[in-house]
Amino acid sequence: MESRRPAGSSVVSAISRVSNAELIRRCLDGDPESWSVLVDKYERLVYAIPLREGCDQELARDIAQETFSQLLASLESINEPESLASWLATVCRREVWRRRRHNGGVTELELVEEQLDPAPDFVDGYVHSAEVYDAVQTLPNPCRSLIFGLFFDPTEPDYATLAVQLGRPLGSIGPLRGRCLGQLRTIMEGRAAS
Amino acid sequence: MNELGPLDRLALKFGGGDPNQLAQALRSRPTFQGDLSWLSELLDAAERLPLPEVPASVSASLHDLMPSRRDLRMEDAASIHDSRRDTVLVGARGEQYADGWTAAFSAASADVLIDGEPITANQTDISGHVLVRGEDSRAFTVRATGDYNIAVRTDELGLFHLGSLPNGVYAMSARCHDFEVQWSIEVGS
Repeated sequence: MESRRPAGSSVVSAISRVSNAELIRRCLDGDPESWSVLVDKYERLVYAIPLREGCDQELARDIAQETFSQLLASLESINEPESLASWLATVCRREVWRRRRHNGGVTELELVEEQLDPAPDFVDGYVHSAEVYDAVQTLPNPCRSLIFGLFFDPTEPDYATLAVQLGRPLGSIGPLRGRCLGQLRTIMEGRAAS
Repeated sequence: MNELGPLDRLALKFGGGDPNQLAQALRSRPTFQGDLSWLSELLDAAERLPLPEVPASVSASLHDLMPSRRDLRMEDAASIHDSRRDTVLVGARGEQYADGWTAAFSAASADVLIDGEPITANQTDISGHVLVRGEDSRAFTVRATGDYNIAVRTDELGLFHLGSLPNGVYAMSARCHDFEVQWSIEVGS
C-alpha cells in the first residue's frame, strides 16, 4: 500500500493547534495551508468510513473526494466547526448510501427506510467515534500521537514501537498513557457538559 | 461485537492481559466505576472505526481540492453606476437619503452594490451586497484596503457592513473559495 507517513505516526506532526473555526475562516480567505491542515486532520476518518461499510479502495477514494468537495463548498455554512468530524462522518455515510443506490446495491425501499429510520445506534456510533476522534485531535503532542497509536491505528503498534515513534524511553509510555487519558477525559467531559 | 467483558478488553489493551490485576489496580481508585465505564466507551469508539493510513495518491487529491491563491479566478469589476455621478437615478432613493449614495460594480461572476451614508464630513458608513451571477447566494470575505483596512464576512445572502470608513480611495475585494472580485471606489461624497 502507498504510504505517505510511517505507519502509526498518525496525523500529528504537520498539524497545528489552530481551531477548526480559525482554519475554516482562513480557508474561506483562500489559504491552501489551512485546507491542508483540515485534510490532514480528517482524511483518515473520511477514508475509513466507506472501507468500514464494505466499499473497495477505489470507491472509498471517490467517496472521500466527494465528501471533502462538499466540505469545501459548504465552508461558509459550517455552524459548529469544532464538531467537524461529526459533520464529515454524516456526509460521508450519506455518500456511501448514494453510491450504493446508484450501483444497485441498495433498493429505493431500503433507502427510504434508512432515511426514515437511519439505524440510530449505527449512526450514533459513528458520530460518537467522530467526537472522540475530534477530542483526540485537540490533545497536544505527545498525547495525540500516543492515544491515536493506542486506540485508532489499525496496525496496533506495540509499546516499543510507540516509544520509538515518540522518541521516549519504553518505561515512560505507561505513565504518559495515564496522563494523556486523563487529559482526553477532561476534554471529552468538558465538551459533553457544554 | 465483542464477547469479552470490559475488564478483559481493557486488560488486553493496556498490556499484561490479566483482568484481575487490572481490576485490582482500578478498584484502588475511588472513581473505579466511572473510570471503567469511560475507558470502555473509548475502546468502543475506537474499535468501531479503526483509521487506516490513507494512500498517498488519495491524500494528494484531497489536498489539491483547494485552489491555491494563485489559482483563484480573479475578476475586475467595472463600475456600472454611481449615484454621485449618474444623477438621473438619485431621486429613486428619496429625499430623506439625499446625502447617501449608491454605487454598482459588475464582474463576470458577481455584481456588487455599495451604499454609502455620510456620518461626518470625513467618515462614511459603508454597507453592500455581493450578488453571485447564475447560482444561489453564498458568503464572501469582503476587504477594503486604503487609508483604513478592514475585512468582514458577508452573511449567506452576500450582505455585508464594513462600518465607518475615513473618506478616501479604497481597493475592495470580495472573495469566496474559487474566485475573487476586485474593484476600487472613492468613499466620500
